[in-house]
Amino acid sequence: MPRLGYSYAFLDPGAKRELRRSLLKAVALPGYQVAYASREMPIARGWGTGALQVTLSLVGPEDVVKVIDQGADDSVNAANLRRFIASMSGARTTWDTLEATLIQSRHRIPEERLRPHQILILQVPIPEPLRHVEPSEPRARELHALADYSALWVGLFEETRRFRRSLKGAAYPVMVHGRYVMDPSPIPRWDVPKLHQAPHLTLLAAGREKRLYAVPPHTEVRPLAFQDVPFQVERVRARCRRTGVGHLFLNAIPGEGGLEHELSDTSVLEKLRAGRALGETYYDLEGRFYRDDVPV
Amino acid sequence: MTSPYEEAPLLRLEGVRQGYGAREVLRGVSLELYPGEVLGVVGESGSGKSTLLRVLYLELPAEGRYTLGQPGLEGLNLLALDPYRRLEVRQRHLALVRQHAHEALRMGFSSLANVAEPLLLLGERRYGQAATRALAALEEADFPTERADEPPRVLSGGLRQRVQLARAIAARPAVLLLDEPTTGLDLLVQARVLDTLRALKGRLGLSMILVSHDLGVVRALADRILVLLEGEVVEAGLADQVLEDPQHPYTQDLVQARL
Ligand SMILES: Nc1ncnc2c1ncn2[C@@H]1O[C@H](COP(=O)(O)OP(=O)(O)OP(=O)(O)O)[C@@H](O)[C@H]1O
Ligand SMILES: [Mg+2]
Repeated sequence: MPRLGYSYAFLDPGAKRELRRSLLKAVALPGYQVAYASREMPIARGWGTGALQVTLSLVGPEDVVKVIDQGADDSVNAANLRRFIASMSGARTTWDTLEATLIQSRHRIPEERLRPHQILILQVPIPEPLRHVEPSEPRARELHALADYSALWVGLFEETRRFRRSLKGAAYPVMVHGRYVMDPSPIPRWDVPKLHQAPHLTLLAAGREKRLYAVPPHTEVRPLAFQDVPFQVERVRARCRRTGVGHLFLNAIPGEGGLEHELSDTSVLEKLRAGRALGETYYDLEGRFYRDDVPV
Repeated sequence: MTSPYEEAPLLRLEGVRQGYGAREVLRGVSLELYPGEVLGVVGESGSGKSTLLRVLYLELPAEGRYTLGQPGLEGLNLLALDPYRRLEVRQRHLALVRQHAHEALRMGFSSLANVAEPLLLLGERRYGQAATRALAALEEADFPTERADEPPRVLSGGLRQRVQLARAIAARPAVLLLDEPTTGLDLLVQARVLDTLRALKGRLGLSMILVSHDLGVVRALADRILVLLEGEVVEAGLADQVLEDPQHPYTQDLVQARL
């Protein structure tokens, strides 16, 4: 049962309508940052308020909600958000990626392949991919309008010249639908290929900066990269200390014998520990990506 | 002015007007540029030379007609294009060397990256190709290529202008626009940059419009000269003609002032 004394899912109907209209616009213009009236939330800005509003504007009593922070369902921040969404909407919650209908996430895309009926909602700190090359917001918007991304290409050229590769780790810029360059939020490179031609809808929202954007299902999402210096995902030569898995994204954790590693995705970690079957993953045991038109 | 050439002009301006607010800076300027020639534009400070170049570079809106004899652009008035198309034409066909390098270059990036930028802008997506072509352009601009990784910030004025020049020619524009490219350089450096420009003209057959308040600079390079006074063309002709037999009193003063 949703909590009494509040609008359903906390937001008032006007706020929800405005959010949904903005989301529709974002879906219609893949990768384009739509300005919206970010509301005050009972958590501090910068803690996922943008994504939270999106989740609350979409959630219904039949939904199953999963919230993760850097892949973990059991972090304090994820738990708080999950409890809040559940109490305001009456929706069920889960840790299981496959069971969820709405997945709100900070900095990760789950390892099990998302399916068409699922919606991924990513928390975004800085929505503007041109921010570090063009600090002026009006000018950056103009560059998007003109599809002038030369500053990013020059930056990439410079890094390639000096280091033979791009130094960008998280938040690697991507070209969406051949039109807008987008910040995919601070997901690791490992997760970037998962956005390309994905069957599910991805929504991205920045509460502090009042911007949201989207990658509709089956959309081209290409990391900015030179043809002769292809984009590459992180490869760690290590295994998860709890499951022995080495082919998925691992967190480095200081342990007794120096750095130890552990699966970042708790859904996968729990299933493996409980001996339950995993869903199809984006990467197979050899680290090969499920689509062969994506360099990893 | 009747055409001194057999060919059709590469670039043509007709009755171009431009002003800042109520003040008119260009008052009906018409000119033509023929393939492979250098057109020198002289005029005193404030006569509208930079404004003219910025209009030619499609950076400033203006009234009038501006056409380029390039495939796909025949008969098109470039001044009437929407901003997106204008940018496209600029990137594909035009290049501008500015008086102040810091207005044109990314001072913190390497010189090589600065030169590669127009290639990247035109869609070069092979790093190796972009780097090779940028290095070649630096060499053509007589830039010491062993310093290609240094940013313009640490370079001398003369070298900065060479980076600008390399950047301008890297993508082989149809028209190279030069706004006082040697002003502010000492005489020797100035002479060397002019040598490079002359060599480039010969080697690449580049068509250029060279603006300067210094008649000497224009004399060194221009095939034809156009004199601008308060936003109007008061005299135009073959360089030797204008220099040896100036018609307009202002041009006469200008030529005399040099002697
Ligand atoms: N952005 C601007 N806003 C207002 N007036 C301007 C602007 N730019 C130039 N002007 C004015 O327009 C006139 C022509 O300027 P322009 O820079 O084209 O002259 P110029 O011939 O290049 O001069 P110089 O030899 O000093 O470079 C000048 O009177 C100048 O003050
Ligand atoms: Mg000037």
